[in-house]
Amino acid sequence: MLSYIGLRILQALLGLWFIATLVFILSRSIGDPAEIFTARHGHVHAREMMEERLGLDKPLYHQYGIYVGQLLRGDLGKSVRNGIPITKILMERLPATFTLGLFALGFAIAFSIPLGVLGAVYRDSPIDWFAKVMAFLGQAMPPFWLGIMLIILFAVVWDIVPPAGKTGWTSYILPGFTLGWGVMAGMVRLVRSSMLDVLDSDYVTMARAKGVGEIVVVSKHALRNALIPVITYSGLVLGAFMNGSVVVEQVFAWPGIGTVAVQSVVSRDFPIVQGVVIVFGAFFIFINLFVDILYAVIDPRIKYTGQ
Amino acid sequence: MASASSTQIVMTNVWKLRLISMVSGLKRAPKIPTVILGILLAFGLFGQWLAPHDPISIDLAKSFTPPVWHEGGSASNILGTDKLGRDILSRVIIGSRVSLALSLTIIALGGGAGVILGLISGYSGRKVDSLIQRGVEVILAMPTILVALVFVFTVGRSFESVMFILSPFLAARFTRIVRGETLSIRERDFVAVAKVIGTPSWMILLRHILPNVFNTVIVLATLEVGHLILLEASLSFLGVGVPPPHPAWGLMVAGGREFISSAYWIALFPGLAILFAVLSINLFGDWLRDTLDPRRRQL
Repeated sequence: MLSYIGLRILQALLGLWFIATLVFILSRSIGDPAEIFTARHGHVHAREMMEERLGLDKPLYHQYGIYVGQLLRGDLGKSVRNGIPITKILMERLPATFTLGLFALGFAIAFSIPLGVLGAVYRDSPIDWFAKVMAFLGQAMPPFWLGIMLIILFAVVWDIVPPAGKTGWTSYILPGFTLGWGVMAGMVRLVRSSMLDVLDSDYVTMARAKGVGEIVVVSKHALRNALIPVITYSGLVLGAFMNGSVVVEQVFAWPGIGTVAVQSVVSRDFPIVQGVVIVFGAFFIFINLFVDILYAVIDPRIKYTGQ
Repeated sequence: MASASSTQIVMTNVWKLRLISMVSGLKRAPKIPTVILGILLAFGLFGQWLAPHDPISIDLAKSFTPPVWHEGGSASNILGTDKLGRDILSRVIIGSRVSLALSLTIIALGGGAGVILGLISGYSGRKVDSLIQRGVEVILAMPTILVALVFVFTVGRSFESVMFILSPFLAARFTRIVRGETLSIRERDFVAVAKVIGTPSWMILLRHILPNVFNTVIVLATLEVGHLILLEASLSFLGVGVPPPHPAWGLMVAGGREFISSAYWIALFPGLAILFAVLSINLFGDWLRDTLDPRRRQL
């Protein structure tokens, strides 16, 4: 088992290195930031100074070496515009994105487990249909549109929550709901189908045959086992949150990483965008690593060695 | 030689039978989603004849006309008009073209590449497999929207740039699933027999493994169309989709965002179009999965 964990950690590190290198190649192939910033002034000297400041006057392999060295020391570089270290900018914005993601995840779990379980236990009943409709809508609605519609309804027409920005706990409701609905959709379907599988299994029949009460069968025997795929899914959900946060933060003017990233793309402050892509990618890889290890620890049927 | 040509005949018959059963199976498809998909396809193909107005002609005298059921609405612009007086209904109809064309092209390119890579990865094993899988992992770990945003913003907004940047993400998803299927089919007896009689690897992949992953690929492709429509709309909402004046649903919603308190219809209807399109594709895909590939309930 230790060798399995070691292998997974090695793979994760390899993945990180791939991402960092890919980001480097992309950033060097999409245009010279020094040119973009100094083209307006057309001054050769300004451009040379800019290149020197950004290290662009050195050969490419040298730049790559510097870049990897900085990354290893946890240095993501500085903003091209105002020279603020990118780690500082990201640390300032991370809490807003993180708390919003947590709120959305909490909302998704709080709705999807009861809906999925009840839908599986009372198949084809009104509650099952309700769960299905919620799930299908959640997977089909564009989040940016859902966000705008919620703003129209709850902030403009009824005026019960703030339309945008991060002010108090009420400002979490609309963006959290927008971000969480799509995730909830996938979770409801997953909980429902894995509950159905488990409720069909021999040990549940056995428990029923022994005379265990239905509530205990569902909550203790079935639900616990049905939750294993949900743990795996929660890891993948973070990918959805990263994508979603870019769009949802934009709609609600949420002061998080997504908003910073979009602003930096527009103002061509590429080191910041680079930093966000690396941080998001690293986060995703580590979450997957964590889920894999957790999975191996929880489920003894998983083989740890090689194939 | 005789045996080779007879396998040929058997193989073509298998594909023909499959096609026939697919077409006749469509009769059992869920009605409403299939009808909506048909309408959508008609919009995409024959939009310019179906749309009541020119979707890009500007008529400032008519700007912000509300939908017909509101006071001040007119029957000539059933769903109202936007800031520049362009007919919303016509723009929604023509807007389907970008969504459909883009997602189908990406499915063909990215999905095709993903199937090939998945087959190779699953069949060859060891070094090639782990190399391809690390690549897949890295692509899946990248925040799609953000990477696409950076790329399109730098190289310029166009159909091709959106296509180019989204295809690898789709390929990665296809590779992962097709590889998994290939891994299990590789161990089956008919593959072993084919190997024993000296069938070259490419032919085993093409004739023995590909037909067996075909159903999974069809189901996956259908479900991914919905996902791609949403992704394209998000990019277009952020301003890096196919450039204006071509109407695109995401861009129309973005255009209506300023006027949510005065003219909600500008943002509402294109969003509903996305919702119905994706909803019916997903329902259709679910049905297809239950019919063709019942093992993959969670796909």
